[in-house]
Amino acid sequence: MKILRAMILTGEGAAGLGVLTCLVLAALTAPLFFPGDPLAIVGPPLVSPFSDTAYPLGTDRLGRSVTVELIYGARTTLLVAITSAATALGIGALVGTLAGFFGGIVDEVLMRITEAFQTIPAFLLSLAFISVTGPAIPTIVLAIALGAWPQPARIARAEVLSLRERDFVAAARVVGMHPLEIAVREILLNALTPVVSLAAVIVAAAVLIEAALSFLGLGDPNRVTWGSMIAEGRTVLRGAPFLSIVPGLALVVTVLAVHLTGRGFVAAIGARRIEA
Amino acid sequence: MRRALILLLRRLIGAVPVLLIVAVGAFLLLEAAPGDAVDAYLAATGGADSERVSELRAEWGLDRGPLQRFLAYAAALARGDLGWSTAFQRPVLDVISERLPSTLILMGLATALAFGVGSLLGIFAGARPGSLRDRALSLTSLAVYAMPGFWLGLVLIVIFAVDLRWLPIGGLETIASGKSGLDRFLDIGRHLLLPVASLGIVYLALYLRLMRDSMAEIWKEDFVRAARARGIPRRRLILRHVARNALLPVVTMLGLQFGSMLGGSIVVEGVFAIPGVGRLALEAVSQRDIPLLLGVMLISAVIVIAVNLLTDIAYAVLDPRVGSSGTAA
Amino acid sequence: MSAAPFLSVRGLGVHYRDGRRRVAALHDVDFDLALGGRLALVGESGSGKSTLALAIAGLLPENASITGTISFPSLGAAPRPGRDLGVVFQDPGGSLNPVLSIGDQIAEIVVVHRGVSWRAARSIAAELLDRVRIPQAQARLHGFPHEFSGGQRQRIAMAAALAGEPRLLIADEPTSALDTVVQRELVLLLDELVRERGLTLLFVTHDIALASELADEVAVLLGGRMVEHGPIGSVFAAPAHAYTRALLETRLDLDTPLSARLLEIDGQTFTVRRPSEMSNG
Repeated sequence: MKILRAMILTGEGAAGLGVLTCLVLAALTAPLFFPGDPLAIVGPPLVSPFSDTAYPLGTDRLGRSVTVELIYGARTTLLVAITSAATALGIGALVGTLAGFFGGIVDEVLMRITEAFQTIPAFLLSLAFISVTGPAIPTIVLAIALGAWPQPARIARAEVLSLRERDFVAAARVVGMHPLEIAVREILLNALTPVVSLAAVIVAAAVLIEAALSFLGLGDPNRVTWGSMIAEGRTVLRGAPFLSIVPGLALVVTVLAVHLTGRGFVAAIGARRIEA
Repeated sequence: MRRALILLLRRLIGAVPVLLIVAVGAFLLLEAAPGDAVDAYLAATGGADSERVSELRAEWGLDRGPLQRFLAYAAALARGDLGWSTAFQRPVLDVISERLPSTLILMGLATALAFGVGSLLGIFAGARPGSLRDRALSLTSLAVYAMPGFWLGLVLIVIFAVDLRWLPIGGLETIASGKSGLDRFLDIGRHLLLPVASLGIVYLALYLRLMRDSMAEIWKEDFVRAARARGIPRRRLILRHVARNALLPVVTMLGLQFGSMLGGSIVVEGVFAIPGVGRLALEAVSQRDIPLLLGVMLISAVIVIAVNLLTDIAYAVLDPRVGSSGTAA
Repeated sequence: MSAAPFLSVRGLGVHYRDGRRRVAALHDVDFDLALGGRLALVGESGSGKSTLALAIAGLLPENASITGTISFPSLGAAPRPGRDLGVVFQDPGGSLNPVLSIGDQIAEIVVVHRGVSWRAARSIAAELLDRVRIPQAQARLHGFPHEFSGGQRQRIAMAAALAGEPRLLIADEPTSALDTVVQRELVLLLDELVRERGLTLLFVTHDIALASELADEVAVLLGGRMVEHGPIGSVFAAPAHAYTRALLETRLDLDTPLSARLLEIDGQTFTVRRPSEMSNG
């Protein structure tokens, strides 16, 4: 937890964590403060933001509250972003560790597959996958993870390879531990910094990809998302541009907060190392 | 030159297994999609009796086992046959080739904007790391890189096309304008301004930060201190010594990020109705034209490989240490 | 009948700011160096000898602050790097730009300081490389630093240091990173260059034997202070400070780590003992 304190001390970490905490709290407590269907019509359509306290951010084309939609949209965004990042890290860690551990032909094949996935633009891959499986939260998560797993795989593999250099197998035998056990411990310790900063990058990218997918109408049709809000707002872009601009700002703030948190973490780790 | 050619050859050979795997992936997705090519064909042509259906299947080799189907698929790919587009009722390759130039122009201009201006601003910021202008630029670029490209596009449309009415909302050129030559060129230019900006500005922020961070690292190098000790004036120092070395990792990123930008171009083309390959992918999605979508995926992979090759060559040209086996005695 | 010294240092102190701490690297250093003089700065690592050299060269890092004065009476203004002073660093691998040819790098210095055309600068660069004994200098102008050995790179660095025709050459442990055979060649070359150009030389070393070869005067640094300074003959014959005496007795290579030394200088009494007999650990 000292890391957390160090993070807060850096300006970036404080800002990032602050915003993210607010976001998570808002998302979690949404049903409490705004019970009911977020897509329910609550008032007259196209009310401008900041003009009426009942609808602080205005209403959309059908009279639904932008504020409520925004908060419920946060739920989807965070859910998808975090689970897809976790999935990508999981797949990547597995593939990378296998490749590094077994080496030889297994390594070659797995690395070529990794390269192939990196060659296809991630968004296009997600698009193709969703087209085949149909849009739903689990498939969206998988679609995003398919584009993001190569980088964690490379890092995991690099960590395992550096371990092999250090002749830990012999050391493990001496200590009496199974090599795999030491491997996992060592990997987790050393890979922490690159993994966390990579996690931040993946989460941020996942937020943007999910937004793009739902903007195109490929998000979960039963949920409100910021991307779908922007798409909706596009139809009234001339008259009520705020409907597209506001959810976009939410996206920018979220992605920025994730990046800042990642950078704060890296800075905190770096500072601790110097002091140590 | 020889160094570069050997590198080129090695990368080309290395690209083959990658493309093969992409083809396998595409094939798997094709299989996973409901219905096959015959179903799609019949849906468009109005159906047929089951005898005719089996006939077609046999003709098109769709009644054989998966491995044979894949081999047939791979063979077709090698011939340049990317399948049949159900939405357009034409060969996929034809449809893609028509749309490719627009995307290449969009990507080319966006990359030039992002890398060119981004690097220059990065050098400007990195000339004095920690200074006010550095911190201002770094913070701004962090915020800009957080923007979704399609949202930025909409914002720009609102400002420039709706409110100010300086630029058109979308399309590649004014329809049926009958313009040619320079007029047409300028017309297309006006139409491309906002899309290129939407796509390019976000990546500009990325290259700005990359260049700036790279410069901050190079400033710490011994040879920079040595150059100062030799009296090299500041401007020359920044450009010929610091920036010239800082450029190297940024060029590497150029290749790695191109795929990401290509993905971004899909949505930007959608927002601005640019008739390119990206928008083609969107049309394929909405019309459930899987062969077309996969064709786009394959072509994208080829383009990414080609661009990576080019950046590798550029890197080899820029860094004299590439390809050398070590120091002389 | 003393002419004004070329370099005059008075009350020089240097602090580094490390986070919230201030570390003093030099205290109250005073000395003069005459034109054409050759001064060796001798001491262990951490004695402040490199800091002194870098301070005079104007190359201290940003977190360093200076008190006292460093003046060059005959120059009339602050010394211009490259033009009035030349510096050779310890690490031969690090002092050259890896992406520019050595010819370009040296010619650049010539162009900047002598205002000649690039063509003329390139032929001057070839001459310089030839003078520092890089074989086939004309052809090797197009070579890149990674194509040369450590010893060759250090010689190229010397050529670069002299390209602006400076009066003072500052060398910070120029041979420490090289093996002994290559070291000899470099020392001989340095000696020749200084003599034929009438340069003033200030060099930092931990090797007393090297100091006695190259220098006329020697200054001994201990813990950031200059404890002894004088002509090399008299200092070595009759050292004034106990530390210097102890140094000479042991004829230590001061770079040897404490644990490997057979004989050690007691930091309090400046007597020489075996480490096992030492009062402090």
